[in-house]
Amino acid sequence: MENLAALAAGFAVALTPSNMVLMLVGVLLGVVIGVLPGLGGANGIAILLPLTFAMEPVSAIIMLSCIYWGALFGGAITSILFNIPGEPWSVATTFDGYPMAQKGRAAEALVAAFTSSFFGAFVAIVMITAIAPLVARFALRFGPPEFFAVMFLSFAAFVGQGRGSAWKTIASMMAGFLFACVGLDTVTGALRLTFGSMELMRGFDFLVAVIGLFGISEILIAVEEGLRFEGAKARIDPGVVFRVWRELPRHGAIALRSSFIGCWMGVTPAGATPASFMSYGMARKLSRDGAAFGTGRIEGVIAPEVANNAAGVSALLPMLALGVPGSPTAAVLLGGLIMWGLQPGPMLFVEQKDFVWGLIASMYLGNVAAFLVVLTLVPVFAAILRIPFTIIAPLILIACAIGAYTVNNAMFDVMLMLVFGLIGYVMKKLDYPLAPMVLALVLGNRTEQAFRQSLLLSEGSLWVFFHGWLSGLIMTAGLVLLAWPLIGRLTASVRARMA
Amino acid sequence: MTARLDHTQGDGMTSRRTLVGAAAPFFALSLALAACPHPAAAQGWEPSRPITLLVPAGTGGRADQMARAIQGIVSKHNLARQPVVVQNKPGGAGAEAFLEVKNSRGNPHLLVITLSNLFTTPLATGVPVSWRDLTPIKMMALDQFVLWVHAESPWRSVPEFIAAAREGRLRMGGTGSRQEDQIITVAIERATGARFTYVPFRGGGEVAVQLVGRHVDATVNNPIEAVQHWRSGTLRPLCVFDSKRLTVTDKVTETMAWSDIPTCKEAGLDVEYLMLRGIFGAPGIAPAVVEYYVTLLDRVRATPEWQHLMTEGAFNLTTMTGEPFAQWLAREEERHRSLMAEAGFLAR
Amino acid sequence: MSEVPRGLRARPVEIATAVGFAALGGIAMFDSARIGFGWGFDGPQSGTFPYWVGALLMLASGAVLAGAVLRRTRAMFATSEQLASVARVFIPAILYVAAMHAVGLYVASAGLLAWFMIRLGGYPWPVAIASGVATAVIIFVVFELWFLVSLPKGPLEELLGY
Repeated sequence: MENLAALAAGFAVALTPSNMVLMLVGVLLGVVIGVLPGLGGANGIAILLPLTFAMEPVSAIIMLSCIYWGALFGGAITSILFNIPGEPWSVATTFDGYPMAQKGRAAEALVAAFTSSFFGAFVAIVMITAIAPLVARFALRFGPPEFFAVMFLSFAAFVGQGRGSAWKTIASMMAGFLFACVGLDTVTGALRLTFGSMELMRGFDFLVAVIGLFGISEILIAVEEGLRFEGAKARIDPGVVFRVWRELPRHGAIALRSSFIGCWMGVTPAGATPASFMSYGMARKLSRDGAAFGTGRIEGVIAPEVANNAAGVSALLPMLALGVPGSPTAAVLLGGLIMWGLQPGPMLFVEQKDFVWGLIASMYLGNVAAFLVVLTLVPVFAAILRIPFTIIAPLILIACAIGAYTVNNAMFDVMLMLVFGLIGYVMKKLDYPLAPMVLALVLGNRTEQAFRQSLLLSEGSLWVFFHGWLSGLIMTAGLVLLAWPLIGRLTASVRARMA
Repeated sequence: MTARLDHTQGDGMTSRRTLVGAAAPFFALSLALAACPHPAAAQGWEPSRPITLLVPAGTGGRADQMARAIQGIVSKHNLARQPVVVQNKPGGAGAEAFLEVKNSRGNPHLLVITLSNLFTTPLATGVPVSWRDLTPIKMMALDQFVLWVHAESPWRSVPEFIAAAREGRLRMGGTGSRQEDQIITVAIERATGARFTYVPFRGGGEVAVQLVGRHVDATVNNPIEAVQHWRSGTLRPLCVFDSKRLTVTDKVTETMAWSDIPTCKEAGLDVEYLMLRGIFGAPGIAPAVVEYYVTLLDRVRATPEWQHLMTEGAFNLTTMTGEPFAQWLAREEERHRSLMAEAGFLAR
Repeated sequence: MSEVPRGLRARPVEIATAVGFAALGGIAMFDSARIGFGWGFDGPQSGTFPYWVGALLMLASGAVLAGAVLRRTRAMFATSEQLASVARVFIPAILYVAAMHAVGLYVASAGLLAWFMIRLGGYPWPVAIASGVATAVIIFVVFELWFLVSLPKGPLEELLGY
């Protein structure tokens, strides 16, 4: 195994004491960045990038990638504790993570999220180590029709089986699509739904909307029942880690499937966001009691967290091997590589072996370090919920405002966040499901873009999606998933008649 | 290991102190800030608070990279008394950043780095802002564009490519819509009479990979976005959209260097396009302020890091200030207007 | 049925929300018609997608509206007490965002925290104000100084030289 020898050499590079310290600093900074709103992975790394100028490229990339791991782990924390996803790919984690916290199981949810994240990351790193060049070539097969097919699959996995009124689900999703449309149309450059307003030209950033819809509205719902948060009485004992670990192997199938989805989405690179939604949706659809999802099922935390970390890690592969960033954070890292005189692309693996394998070795070490760090911090995070409501609520409001502001450095977004908070509150009270709206908001633009790019390429023929075997296969899988509840009902009734 | 990497390592000698090395800039900076909010002006003008460098695009793009390189260089070589703070304002295809500068008349601590959207965004969206509303400080460099095709495509030269494009609609991939890549495409159409199907993607790297995967037929990627695929033998450059050949003579592949790529004009395609990488200030700032920034940016350009960045990206190293810069801007604006008018990209 | 709680009934809110969504759909269709919603030479035009999404939104909210109008329930949206609680948090939040324009994020944040602690938490005001100021200073150090992220500032920061 040539790869293994190279990896061993890589460990030698990464394991120098100075690099180990950098790793730890990076991980800690990353967790802080992941928790602080408005300093998501991409921003955080962009901000710290100039500071690494004075370092060797290997050390610099090790530290920056550790910030990235830290942020990937840290993203789940606010999702679970306060229903505020700091990154698009943490949205799916809120669906079951926050209900768990409300039931006083915050520590369990956190441990499950971190362990799943680690599992996903680990699978992805092993994948990178073992079959990097092969996988990189797979990414080349992905043109616009394949991207659309993947987006379609995410929606198909997610849609259906929702509780409540079907009309309300449709209304919620369509409103999400409309919000996503506001601003510049990326395909033609035309302005849509802006009505001549400069502020609307910016469009509705996903984060602003979600901070409002999920975070602010949750505070409003919580205060209805008095000035306190549910889940404040969370028990924290060291045993929780082992309790959760004993339970996790039972969900091994979900974890494996989710890490496959994650690696695939990370490499292609569709990114961590569709990966997390897709694997959450699949976990729910394929589960025997899917209806219980959204009420605090541990699988609902495992599936998205495994997938988004697997995707987050494997997103570095197309970045290194092809020069295409799989996520905004990877895009910033890419900029860093270029600044240090490393040209990402097919030749990097040949010409800069030391660098590449040093980085891969640091992925192993960095993720272990990040995992240990966040795990030891679980009691601290869970204890945040014990802070009196009259202190934590304004702090959350402030954090949300900072988060909304820093997305575009725009004051208008802070107001928008409040408006979305009110919309979210009313919608929740009236049983409109919020998840479809957020899914549409997050993936709407890219789905539409891929659809139209494909039609540009095919000169208007819809068959383009079934033309290539890959897109055809994914589309078919999507159609099957879409029909899955129907199939389930059919087989059940057949079985009932047989009996 | 290449000479290039050694050179970078040489620069990084001081960083072995790691933890201190990593965190020191933070704390040193905060200390410096706390200690002297109002540094005494030695001579001429000096910044008295952090300098904000606006990026009219999101994080991770080329403009953002250059802004952060400037930030890093200034802090590493201690070129200014105050830190440079990079702030992204991607709203409205950059219009928001330009408007903020326009509305900050006389603010000496606000700069903006521009790309071609300084011309294209106001034209395409009708937002009332133009380069005349800002104070041009310095042209840092010009970004090159190269016509790329897949190495397995039958087109070995520009005339072959043009002939094929005239015969049937070829698919041209590019970054964004109504921006530089699409404008170049329109300019090619105008020069040759061929028609292309322009397919917009989100970033330059993605565009290059779409070409490698043969989902499109050609691109006009920047050198740095496609160089690795050229080296690995999957892409082929046909010509460069500059009036002169590129100056970098180090061999990129076995046989070719950047300087071996013909200009499009000498290859029979009369199209020229370079993208501005310039720094602008707020309107109405004092000449002493402009002078300070010109000197500061000159010192940035003189650092090895900057030169390294320029070679890496095979940039056109033209730099301008003052009147010549203003004339260049006026010419470019006019050219963008006529190209965009012809393509029907102007705001309705 | 025993005592009916006072407050806002669900039905009017349901109707208003459905009308609001329908209006949103209508506006989207109107604006999309302006930029073209047909099938161009190479696929849909800019307005196509929002046009049909708007149409679907109108359809769906129409259905919700019909349901709400036809079904007379006495279900509550929120009781008066609940609404009062929500207002006690939401109104300061609005004022907070409004104040941010005038005095910047830091001063406004200090004020928000102090207000909550004094009015809702019953803390003594010196404690509350000290906490507010401490929070603002910590945010300032972390964002403005360490991470070099600039947040909205007002006259006070101007006075201090930032």
